[in-house]
Amino acid sequence: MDRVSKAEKLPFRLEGIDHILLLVSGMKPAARFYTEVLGCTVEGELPQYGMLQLRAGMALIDLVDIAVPEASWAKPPVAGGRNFDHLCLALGAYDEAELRRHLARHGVEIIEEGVHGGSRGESLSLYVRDPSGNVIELKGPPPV
Amino acid sequence: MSSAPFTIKGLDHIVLRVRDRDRMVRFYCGILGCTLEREQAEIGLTQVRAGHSLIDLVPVDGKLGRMGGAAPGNEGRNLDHFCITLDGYDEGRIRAYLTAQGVEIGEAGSRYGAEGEGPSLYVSDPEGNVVELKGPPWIA
Repeated sequence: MDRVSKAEKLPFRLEGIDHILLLVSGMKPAARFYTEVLGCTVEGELPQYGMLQLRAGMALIDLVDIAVPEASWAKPPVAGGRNFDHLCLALGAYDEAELRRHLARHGVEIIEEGVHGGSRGESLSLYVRDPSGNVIELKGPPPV
Repeated sequence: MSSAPFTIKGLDHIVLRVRDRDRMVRFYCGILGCTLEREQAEIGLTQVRAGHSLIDLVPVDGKLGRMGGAAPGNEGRNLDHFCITLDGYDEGRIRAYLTAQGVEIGEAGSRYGAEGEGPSLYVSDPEGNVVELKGPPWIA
């Protein structure tokens, strides 16, 4: 039964997604994309693990560069597999024309767009790719 | 410095590519306590709520899933793991509960997350995705 939630006897309650460890190939272009284009800030550097921790609002995005030997611990045995389709970032209110100009200025292509549902309701979603091909959905709050 | 004309508030949702939708729903809803938020069978999308975030399950043989290319192999991945924040963390009770549910528990430890350093443990979902369950930071 899908609808059965056993929340009443669970020894915990879920609050939300805290962080995600994304595999990238090449840290420099990835770091540039997440900081300069998306505005994440560097929270911690762990070169000994091939990792960069970025803050994305109340969450973290950890990038792991599987192109370097330090990240061999995270390197999948098979290249090119995708166990996740995309990641959606919740944005604060923004000016759509300005956002489009910003992405264009950085040479970031919008590969798909549409009004889709998210955790806060329906709103415009713009889909872009990071330099390693991971798909990122940019989503503002639902219109008031 | 970024000149981005927006601010990121957090992670809204992640989309997992799955082979067995029912089995995954049983794990995320039946065991972890996510709630079924929305189902769009015609495009192959099941959305479950994990607190303020959503986890979307997209069967690789559905309409959306096929657009995402070939099915993920057991060993191919582009996501190492993701972490869900819990509102309380009694490791003994969590372990007893997960064990009773037949969930294999990986390494427990003190790890850094978005709210700071705190206790966490790793579990695997039925398709091998690693999910970190993390309690509040040691010092709130």
